[in-house]
Amino acid sequence: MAQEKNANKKELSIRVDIDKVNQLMDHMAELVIARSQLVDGLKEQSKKDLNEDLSQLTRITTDLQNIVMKIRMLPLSTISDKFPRKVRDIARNSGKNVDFKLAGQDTELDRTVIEQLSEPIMSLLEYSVNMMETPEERKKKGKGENGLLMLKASNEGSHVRIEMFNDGKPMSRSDIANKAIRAGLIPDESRFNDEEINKLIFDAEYDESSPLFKVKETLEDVHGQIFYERSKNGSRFVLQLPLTLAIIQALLVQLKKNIFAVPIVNVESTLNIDRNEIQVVQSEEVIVIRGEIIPVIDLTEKFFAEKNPDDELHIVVVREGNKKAALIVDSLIGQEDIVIKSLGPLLKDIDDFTGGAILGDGSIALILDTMNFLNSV
Amino acid sequence: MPNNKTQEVQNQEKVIEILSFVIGKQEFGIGVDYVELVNERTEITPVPNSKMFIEGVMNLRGRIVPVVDLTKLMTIEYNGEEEFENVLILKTEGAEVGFFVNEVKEVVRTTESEIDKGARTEQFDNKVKGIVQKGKRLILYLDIEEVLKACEGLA
Repeated sequence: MAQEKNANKKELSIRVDIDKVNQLMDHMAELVIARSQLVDGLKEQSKKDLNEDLSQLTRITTDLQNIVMKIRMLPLSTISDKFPRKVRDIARNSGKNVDFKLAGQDTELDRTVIEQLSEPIMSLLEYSVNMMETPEERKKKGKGENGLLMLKASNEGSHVRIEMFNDGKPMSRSDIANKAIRAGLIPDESRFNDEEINKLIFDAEYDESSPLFKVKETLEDVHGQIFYERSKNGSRFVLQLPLTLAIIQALLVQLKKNIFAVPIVNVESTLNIDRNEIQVVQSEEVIVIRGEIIPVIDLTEKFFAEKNPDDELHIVVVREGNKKAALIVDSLIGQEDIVIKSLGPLLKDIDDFTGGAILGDGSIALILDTMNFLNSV
Repeated sequence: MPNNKTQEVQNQEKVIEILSFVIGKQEFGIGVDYVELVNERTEITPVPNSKMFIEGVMNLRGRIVPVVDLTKLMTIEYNGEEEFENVLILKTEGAEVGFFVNEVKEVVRTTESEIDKGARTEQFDNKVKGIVQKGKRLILYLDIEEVLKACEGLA
């Protein structure tokens, strides 16, 4: 019976042209916006029937939105099916014995994210195999001859987590520190912790020949993050990926008359400060938050060439990897789900924004490219 | 039978349909095939640090469309007193773009031989295909591909 059900399930999937799905998404987005407009416009009229109609419309559009989102999702197995063979080839070529395990392959991601993942994951698998010892070395250490490499995917709220664990020799903290000192990236080994390791090993300046910084670059294109964690029996690469690129949660902020959106994943905190808390270090404006020195960017100045005149300032601290910046805005509006839209070819030279979103009142919020901001400070 | 005859005449000289519009005091024309629609000017959201002739982006039925001020791209005589009230939306290769215009007039029918190509001016260079004369009116027939290339910074 169960088998029959499964067989039926296969029969029921169809191939759909991605353009059609995108069109469906566009109309969906319009419907969501039209709903918000209607709800806003009718809020004052408190007729009971009307309210019921509206809540039903809200339910329908939300359901429809979820279905459309799901159409775009693909399981990780679309790309992971070829990983075992790849790992076997790498292991054989480097004289390692590797047991490769895959888990959570049915975890789904937006197809635009999945399409970008194959290459970085392969790179990381190769990197992991290279970290492992040869069978002889392993025997000497009292480990089994076969190394363990495990790729595990799971859902974590609005993110998907993919981890690649290997029980080989973890990267050495002092090796990394020494190499970074030689490259002039850090002054000495003091205050060198695991967070610093993460900052360095994915940095092109640390090792341009390493595949790790390319991996990080590719992941950042799909708004993903990567970490390296050392544990008792080995170490792991952890990828954090958004479920979808099309709809994100954003913090809306106001600058003069315009509204801008900051992706929530990049928002570390919001706070109000007094202007005289801003200090100047080597002609750069910074603030100190919980002992941490964070560069300040006045967005009004950056975008409209005039300084924010206020004394009491609203600050949004944004973060990407380990870089942080404090953005001065006029006011905070609130959190909202937004549909990301491209600004088109005419504006492709603009790197301050990743796109735009249409808000409930029909106005447009430009979406800040926090990565670009953080690279500029 | 008479129908067939007119068809023959048309085949000899292909009719070109141009939508004419006014910016400042000048009348321009573009091939109707590029025109998607004419929209009333709605709220334009400025895009900081973008090219100076890009006025911003507008919400066109849920799509985000950049709006170009041709007077800043092509040095058109324009005193700026009259606010632009309309946006002409063009569609090329999937991308949409809006142009500020004062007034959209009509579709003008002309033929290749009626377009005066010798009159291309230095000021407009290759962005103008030629001038179409309709009575006293002189319509600058734009080469939209070239205009858009200039917008993208390719030309």
